[in-house]
Amino acid sequence: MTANGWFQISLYLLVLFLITKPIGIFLARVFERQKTFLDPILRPVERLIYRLCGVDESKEMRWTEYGTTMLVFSAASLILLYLFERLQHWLPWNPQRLANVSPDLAWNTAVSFTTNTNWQAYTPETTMSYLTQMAGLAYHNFASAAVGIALAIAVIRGVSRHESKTIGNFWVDLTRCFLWVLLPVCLVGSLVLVSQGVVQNLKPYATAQLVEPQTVQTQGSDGKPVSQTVTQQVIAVGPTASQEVIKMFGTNGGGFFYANSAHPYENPTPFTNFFEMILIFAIPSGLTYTLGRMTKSQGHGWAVWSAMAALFLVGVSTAYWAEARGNPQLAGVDQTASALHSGGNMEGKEVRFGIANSALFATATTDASCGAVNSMHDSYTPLGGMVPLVNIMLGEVIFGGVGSGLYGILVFVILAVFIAGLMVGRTPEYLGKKIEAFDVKMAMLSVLISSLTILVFAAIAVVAKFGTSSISNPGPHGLSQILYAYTSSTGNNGSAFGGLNANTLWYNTSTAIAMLLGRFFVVVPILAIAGNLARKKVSPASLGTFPVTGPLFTILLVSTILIVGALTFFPALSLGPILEHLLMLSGKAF
Amino acid sequence: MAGLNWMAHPESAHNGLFGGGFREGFEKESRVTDLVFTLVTIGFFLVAIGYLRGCERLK
Repeated sequence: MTANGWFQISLYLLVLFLITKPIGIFLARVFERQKTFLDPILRPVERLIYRLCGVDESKEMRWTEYGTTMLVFSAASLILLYLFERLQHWLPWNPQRLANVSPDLAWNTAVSFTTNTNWQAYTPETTMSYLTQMAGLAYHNFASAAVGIALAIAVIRGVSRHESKTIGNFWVDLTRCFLWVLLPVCLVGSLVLVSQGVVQNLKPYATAQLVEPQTVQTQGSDGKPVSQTVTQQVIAVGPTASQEVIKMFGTNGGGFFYANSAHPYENPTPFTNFFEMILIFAIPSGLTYTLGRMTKSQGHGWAVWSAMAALFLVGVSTAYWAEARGNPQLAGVDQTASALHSGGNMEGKEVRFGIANSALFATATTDASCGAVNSMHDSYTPLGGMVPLVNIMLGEVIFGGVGSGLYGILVFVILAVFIAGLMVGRTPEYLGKKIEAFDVKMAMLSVLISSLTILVFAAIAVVAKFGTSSISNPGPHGLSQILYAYTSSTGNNGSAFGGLNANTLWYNTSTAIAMLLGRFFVVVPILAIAGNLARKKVSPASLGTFPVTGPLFTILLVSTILIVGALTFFPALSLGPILEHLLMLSGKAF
Repeated sequence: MAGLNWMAHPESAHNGLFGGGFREGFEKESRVTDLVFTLVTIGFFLVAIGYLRGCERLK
């Protein structure tokens, strides 16, 4: 580890802290329908959209109506994307004449982008046409992010309102999120990326003559090896910058290119790397301030932010330490950082970004539900690779996905308050509202569904031939690959550990089902909590009220998250990365 | 260690770096599969709406 590495990690956290308040205030103003500097331009557009779509912006919805509308919207969006993929060969903006995507892969991708997972079991530059990328995938980058933010705002309203039957209007929240939050930032952000060298065009792929022709072995139609001399290199280009910015800002993560943010056309400079990492946490961090502002308890917002920041620091420190330490099996190789080389475990990492920025990116992308990568998590040391895995297993509540991070941590807040209530022997209260059996049942339901989905699917895959035939490394590393695939898909993260052939009928269908369950079956109980809290009366605070501000609450919240995560996943982790780490120390590699 | 060269991992080899992620076009069999996936999608969201109603009734 180097001072430079720690400086960059500290700078990242400092910038994140500084942008939290302005973003939080802006989000609160947008969703509380207060004046913003964008109103003169966007308010007429908003009114026009409502008129065209027949939306009554003054009508609010109960949680059941809000949830049903969200589900119907998501179903329609999913089917639309499926059609785009299946028909792209005959649609315009396909200069490479790419074929229609196969049904199982198309369904997996449609589910993946609708659920904000953006798991990619395909190579984008050789599979998706420009039209599919722009009108299909990028549209979902916006829509799924907007749905997540709308849901978080609805949940905050549920917490902040009292004796109210409604929690907002889904269409209004969605529209305002698109117009005020996502589009302006993406417009400016994509130009920033273009200025740094991220490509943005609709040209056919470029072809370059190789300076030194290469002879490669391929497989002929009869299955026999054939030698082929390659003299040209195809260089994929396309409308990348416009998708890159929403990929990060909407915590989507689906890369325009297969190498994702390790590709120089997606992430060309150290500045873009820092900018992209800040984009990942910008909204999730800002939403904690919005929570404090809308519930009129700013201390609560900061307590939640502090819990997230503490868990983030633990994750990034562990990953950085494990990777900078290197591989003990490479005895005799100098793995110490110096002016001449980065030291540590550089396998699978971009030399432009080094170990600190790779560990930071890997932690941020899995704390959030982003899933973009600038290094290959499969190539991390066992403990370094365990950090992204654990981050997702904890429910992606460490800042988390746009919206989903906040509503996810509110589940843990309910549980923390409930546990505190049990400890002091009083009825648990959250911001003056009594937490009752129904709220705890719903909170437990949302926690159980995701863990159950991950563990059941992973268990099936590790005992069945169709599951194990896709792994590339035997032993505990193979288990980690499978576990990561279902954790990433259920957590709607989308990052791949690598090494697992996920483009099979089994993985395409099972991970898609995991993504659907992880998104919609988790959010419905949370909306139920919001609807129930909105109806409650506020009781005045008494001496027995457990405060949801301050360090004590932050410690309790962090402990609740860790205990729930550890109890659920420790057995699986001990058979995967922990065992692999111990075997590595004893001289065995996988 | 695993993944010495991530580009050589099976998923990229399977898709083929320049081979595309498709395995078939738009034949009759895939139209049946299309129907199945569409029905599964609609079915899932109907179940999700039922699940939502079920949560409401738990109150």
